[in-house]
Formats: sequence, C-alpha cells, structure tokens
Amino acid sequence: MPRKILIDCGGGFRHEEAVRMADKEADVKIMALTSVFGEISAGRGYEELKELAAALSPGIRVGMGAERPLMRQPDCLNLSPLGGGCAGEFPASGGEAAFGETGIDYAWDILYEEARRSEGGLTVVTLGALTNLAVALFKYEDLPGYISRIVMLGGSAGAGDVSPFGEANVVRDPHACAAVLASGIPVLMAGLEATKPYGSARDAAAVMAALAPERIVSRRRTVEVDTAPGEMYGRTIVDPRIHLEPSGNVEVAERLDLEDVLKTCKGEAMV
Amino acid sequence: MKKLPVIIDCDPGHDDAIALIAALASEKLEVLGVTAAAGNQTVDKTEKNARKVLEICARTDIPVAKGRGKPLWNPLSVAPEIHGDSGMDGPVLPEPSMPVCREPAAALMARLVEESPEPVALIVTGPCTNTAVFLLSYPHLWKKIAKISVMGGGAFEGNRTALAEFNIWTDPEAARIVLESGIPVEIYGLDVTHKALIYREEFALFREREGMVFQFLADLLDFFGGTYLEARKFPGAPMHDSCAVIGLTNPELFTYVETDMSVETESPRSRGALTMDLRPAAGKKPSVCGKIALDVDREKFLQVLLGACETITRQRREKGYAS
Repeated sequence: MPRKILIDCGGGFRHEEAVRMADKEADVKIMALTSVFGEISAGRGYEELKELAAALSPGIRVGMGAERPLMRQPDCLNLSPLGGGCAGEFPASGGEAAFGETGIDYAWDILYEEARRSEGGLTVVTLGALTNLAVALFKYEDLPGYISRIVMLGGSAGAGDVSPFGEANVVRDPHACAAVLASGIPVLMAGLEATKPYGSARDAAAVMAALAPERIVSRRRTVEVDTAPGEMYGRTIVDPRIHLEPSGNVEVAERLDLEDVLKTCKGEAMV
Repeated sequence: MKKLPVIIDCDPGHDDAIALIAALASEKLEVLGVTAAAGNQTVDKTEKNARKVLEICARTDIPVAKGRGKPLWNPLSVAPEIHGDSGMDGPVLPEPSMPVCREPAAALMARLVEESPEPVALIVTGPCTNTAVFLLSYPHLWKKIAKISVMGGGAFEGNRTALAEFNIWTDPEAARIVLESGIPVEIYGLDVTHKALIYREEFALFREREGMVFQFLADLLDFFGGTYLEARKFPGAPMHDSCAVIGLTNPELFTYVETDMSVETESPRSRGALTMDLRPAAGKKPSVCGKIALDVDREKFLQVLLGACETITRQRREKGYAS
C-alpha cells in the first residue's frame, strides 16, 4: 500500500523540485497538489501546479487555494518583505484568477475528499501559509479524524526570518496556523532550526521529512501561535519547559538528517 | 416590483423567529433559504426552531440547512437565560415535520447564490459562523453577494461583556472575516436594537389579535420580555434581529453612519468588540463598504411587525391553513 500524501504549496520553483522528488519516491503516491497565496498568487500557483501534475505520475489532482489570509494583517508590523500577495495586500474582492468560474476544484474540498478516501492514512505536507487547511477545518468539522499527520514547513522556536521571531509561512496567516495547531491533528513542525541548513532546498527537506520520519530528531512540545498585532505577530511560541512534557501538542523538529537523501533525490529529480 | 433575494442565517432564538416572520411577510424580499447557526442554543435546536417557524408561516418550500456545531475558534456558549432550554421557550409547538436540508449550511448558501439570476443579500441574525465558512469556502461567489445585513455588535456598548454583543462575542473571528471581506455590510447593533423595543404594555397588541401567528408572537414576547426584564432589567423586548431585516425593507426608518468596521479579536479585555473610527472624516479615506444603524423610528417599526403578522395570517388562510 503506497503512502499517500497531499502537498499544499505556495508555488514557485522550489516547490516544483520538492514535488518532483516526492513523485519519484517508490511507495509514495501524491494524491493532490494545492496552491495557496504566497510568493505568487494562488491562481497562478494553481496554473503552475496543473502543468507540473501533467508531467508527473498520472492521477494527481490539483486544487485552487486561498488568495488571502483569514484576517487582514495589522498595520505597522516591522516585517521584512514577504513577497507576493500578503503584506499590506488585502484584495477587496475574493481575488483574481479562477473567480467567476463555476466548477472550481478548491483546495479544501480536495483535501477533505482525499483525506476521507485515505481513511485516516493521508499525510498533508504544507509548504506555505496554512490557510487552506484552516478553511478545510472550518468547513468540515469531521476532518481531523481523517488526516494521519500534518508536516508543516514553518515556524521557529528561536529567531524568525521576516520578523524578529516570525517565520514567513506562519506570519502570512497566523490565525490559520493557530487553527491547525488547535485541531488535534498530529503536527510535525519543520521550522527554521531544522530546515534552515538546507537553504533553498527547505521545501524538499520538509517533503522528505514527511516521507522519512526516521531521519527526524524531534521533541514533543506545546506550541501556540501569537496572533496579537505587534512584535509577536505570527510567532510560534514553543514552550521550552521540559518539565511539562509530554503534554505537548506538536512534534518540533530539531534536526533533519537528510543530506544524503536530498543529494540523491536531487540528482534524479532534476533529470 | 423586483424582490431582493435573501438567505437568512440565524439561531432562533425569539427575536430571530420574529425577524424570519418579518422577512417572509415582506413583498420586497424573496427568502431563498434559511441556515441555522449555533448561538442562542445548539445548532440541533436552532435548526429545529427555524423549521417550526417556517411551518407556522406555511413556508415549508424554503430549505433549512444546519451549520457548524461550534464557532470557528471559541467553544460554544449558549444563552438559556434569555431563550430557554429549547432556544425558543414560551410557545408550545409540535415537532416540525418538514425535513432539514441534507446539505450543510455553507453548501446550501453556495447553491442558492450560484443558482440565483440576481445578486443575493445575506441576513445574519446569529453568530457569523456559517456566513464566514461560506465566504471562505466559495470566494468565486463574493461578487454575487449584494450585501450582508448583520445583527451584531454595538458601537459603544456590549451585552455579553462590556463591549461585546452576544452574536459577535460567540464567534469574533467569524464576524471579523465577514466585516473584512470588502462586501457591503450593514450593522444593526445594540445602539439601535435597544431602541427597537416593544414595551410590555404593547404585547397586548399581538395578544388581542386572533390567529396562530399573532398568538405565536405574543407567546414569544411574553417569554423574551420576561427574561429580558429578569436578566437585563429591560422594560420590554428588544427586537434585535428584526432590525437586520427591516433595515433592508424599510431603511428610511433608520439613521445610519457610513464607516468601515471590523472586530477586535486579540485584546483579551475587548475581545468581540466592534471596531470603527467615527472621528471626523478629515484625512480619512472614504468608507468603501460599511454602515451602522444608530437610531430607529420605533413606532413605525412596530407597525411593520404588526403588518407582517397580518400578512402571514392572510397567507396561511389563502393556503387553506386554519388561522
């Protein structure tokens, strides 16, 4: 029985590499790819993922995701440029791209359908903001029972990248991340500590971490997200108090031993 | 006259029931569907109450769908001290026989909006949970939403907390999602709904009229007015939710201020407060999509409600129901 995954991406070449690698893995079936706003719009990401899926193993569904975060981002945050449709951008309407059409395959509907079809055996890997997952949780109250695990590229137990403590994917939609962490679904947080060493291959590292859990060194922690406007906006608050273990809700990856795996896969994936 | 198609997202609820009657009676509105939210009571109870109201109004042709069991983030906290254990205590009604829609609320809203040849208005008289789920799940339909009329909040007063009104307090994130959507929104908050009072001595205007509909209203008012007197020290029953309906059919009865609005979700002390900037407009960008009602002509408002009961009574008779 192949391991079933769904990859939720913000689009762009880094995600393409990660997806190709997963597709090449034996014993892995990508059920669907879904787009979310990020460095490019969800609409453009959707078009790119459709093209990508057509070049991969047959039967990969593609879903159109959210064009904006759940809530308007507060003014006056001291953020490094996030790029794309996020910081300061809050389109008055639903956005561009596929709107106006009927019969759109939305990311949250595909996620729910594939999760149910997999009967609890679906792993969801998120490489961007968690908005699609949050919408799916809101729309489908029984979703948590059908997802085996979420591997989330994002967050940090230490310093941030776009703000002093905020990592880009969480800062893009902290409320969505909060909803996911509160859902009860097992979450592995592949944050900056574990993925920064992989540089531009962070996304591939997160995908391979989902497929090779034995190569992850992690610790169970309680993690919450700060959604208050100000210095802490989008901070993943990783409780360091080890005397409170094992009450945590999240596996926080401390290290990913994937160098050899990524080198090999990269060589194949680029062919 | 072209009717405005509407979907009513509600949590009956005494004042929701009265608002439903006002909407069904209006010649200016076409009620496409009703969705039940968790708020005044659990969603199982509110959807049942919605169906009871539709049966009294002889409108079993209108679909009723059930929404989420709980708010987006908060746990659910219901209001039996105002609405009783059933959510609509007071009137004695049989169990509804019309079925509940198989589609969940957001899916029904999407289908009705999609199928409507004209833009649809949403009337929200409970927490915004279902409406927020609908907006998040079907962004391609936003341009087919004419406006959203919401009973909720208060510019300067709350009732569940000092600043938070019950509907918005129950699900502040959902309300914030609705208000930040950019879709034109009208808010009927406590500033105006506390003025849309039916005084206790006026309950007789319903009780003395014959027919099931008038007696139903009288029973609702007796109970709701009673809990409001006991729990909130009010001299009458505030018709919160009917404001969100009558504001669409008779806007001339209301006084509005145009302003963008949102909801405070992060401050613990102010969580659930409606936020807006009512300072003089110098230097501010013009409001794009919001207005809040601050006053109402109470006497004319009451006449509209009495007229609505007459209309439904007549419609029942025309359909062969006992008065």
